[in-house]
Amino acid sequence: MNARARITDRVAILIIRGFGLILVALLAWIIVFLLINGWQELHRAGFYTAAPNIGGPGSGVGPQLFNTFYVLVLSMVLTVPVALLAGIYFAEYAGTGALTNVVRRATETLATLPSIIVGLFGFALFVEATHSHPSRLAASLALLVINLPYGIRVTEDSLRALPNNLREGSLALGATRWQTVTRVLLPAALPGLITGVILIAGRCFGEAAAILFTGSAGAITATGNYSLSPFLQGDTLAVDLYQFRTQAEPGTVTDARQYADGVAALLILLVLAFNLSARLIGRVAVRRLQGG
Amino acid sequence: MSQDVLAPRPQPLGSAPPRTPTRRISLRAARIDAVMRWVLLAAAAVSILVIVLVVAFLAGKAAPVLRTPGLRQFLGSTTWQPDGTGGGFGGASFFGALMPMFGSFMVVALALVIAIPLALSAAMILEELNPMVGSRVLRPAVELFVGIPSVVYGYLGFIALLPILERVAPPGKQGSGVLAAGVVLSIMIVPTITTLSADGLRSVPRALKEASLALGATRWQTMWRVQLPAARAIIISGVVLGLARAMGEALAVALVIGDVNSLPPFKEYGLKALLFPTTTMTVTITDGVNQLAINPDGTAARYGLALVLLLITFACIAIVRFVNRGSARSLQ
Repeated sequence: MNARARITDRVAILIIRGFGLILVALLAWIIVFLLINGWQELHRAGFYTAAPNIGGPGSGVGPQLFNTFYVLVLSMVLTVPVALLAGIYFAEYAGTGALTNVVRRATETLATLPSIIVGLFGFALFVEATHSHPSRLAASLALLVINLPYGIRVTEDSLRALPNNLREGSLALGATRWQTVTRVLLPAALPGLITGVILIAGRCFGEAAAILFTGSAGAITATGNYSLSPFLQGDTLAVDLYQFRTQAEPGTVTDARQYADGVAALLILLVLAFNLSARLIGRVAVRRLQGG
Repeated sequence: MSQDVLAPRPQPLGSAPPRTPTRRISLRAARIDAVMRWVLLAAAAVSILVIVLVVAFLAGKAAPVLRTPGLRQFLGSTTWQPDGTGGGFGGASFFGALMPMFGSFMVVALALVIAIPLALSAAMILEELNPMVGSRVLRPAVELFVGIPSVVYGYLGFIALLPILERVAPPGKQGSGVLAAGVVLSIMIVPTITTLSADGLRSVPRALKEASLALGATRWQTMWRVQLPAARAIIISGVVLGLARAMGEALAVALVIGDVNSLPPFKEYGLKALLFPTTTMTVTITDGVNQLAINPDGTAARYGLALVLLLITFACIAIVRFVNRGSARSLQ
């Protein structure tokens, strides 16, 4: 009995460690595989500037790349103020009343909404109800819905992490709550806030279903349009990768597979870059604060 | 207006506080403070507004289909011809959404079966077996898994997994189906379940573990019979949230499931039916994206599917709340 238990123990722990190893190996394989596959495109300069070439060679992601960053920046401009204000409310003002509870639950529910529901909803509200067409602005608003709960969470956590004597000191000196927030707490929480904003911006790269419905509606940004208008229709890198399946059909984009490999590798690189820089900035900022 | 008169030198916001705080200026600050309280509350209430609008819009847009063919056809038939028969948009339309719903459940069930053992193992390594190695290698890996865009997972499934499955699939099938979708989804939800399970294991008091080991239980017995059961509330939350995420994922699944509205032939092929193309709710919604403006009936039917998906998501959130009564901020 005892020996059996010991053998079970050994075997079970071996299996557990094996599963852990599988996960790490899988991640390493995913990243290496994507980068190797996309290498050919990644070091071709035309890949970043040319437009998808229907029926010819030398496709590029120029318009998609521009569109991706455009939507990312616009959505962050819309998201950050709302998330900041709401996060301040939860961290500094909210009591334990029923109202706070309802608002908090709504925010948590928002975080669980599937992207495709946000997409359909965004199409109904930002496109149909306003009698317009899918656009960068509609896509950015959809991203606002998706990222808002994370932005609130980041703000709230950054503020809550601050020591309470900052608040008490400021309030004891006669400052109002709002003065305390704007002049004492927000500056102190800045490193956490910046890290959070970068992480959320990084999430925008991967968002596809919502943008498919609100920003592109199946259209490929084929011509190199670098206009700054928020009312242009077009797809982002992630949406473009999804459309690979239809692009791979004969008569559309030549070298579709090679092109899609490049898009996937570029997406991974962008996500990695944003993740790492967020960590780096967070670490540097913390060190500076503690050292100074 | 009156406060301008009262305060001869108004202090703009953001400048240094006055050296000698006078009553007038603090009155102004107090007013700003009172106003900001409401502004902040309004910003926080945007979430409520969005939730209400989502429910209203989905229900409103789905109403035509739920009313005329009726809920009975929608939930009781497998004939899905929202675009009418015979290719055109004329003809008779059928809105039986049973197949996409069943497809979603199959795919999610398979994803959970694969993901739960992997995620629990990762959590046990992180918290119990090798915390040092775990925090250096496994935790960053899990965090990176979260960062990888879901479309990239779908694309990987398309270019790497489908060719492998095609070899074992019955002739003429490309390997797309429930199995491919389940595998892709499982990798996507491992981080969710791992993170929450690790949180759960960490919350179990050390005394429980020590008592179990002192009684002569092995490490495995301690984990399996003491620590995991003690952490079950948070682990269940993780599993349910993973389920919700898998159920709502659209594009990654769309790339590997084949998108054919038919039941996999389990009777003839047994488990190999998992290699037959089928569909899910999210995939069926997605494939209508090109007809949003031109095919109102088909679009209404897809809003109906989205409504079902929304209700399932709400049910998941309710389960998580019920399991975690008392411990707040458990979501995400």
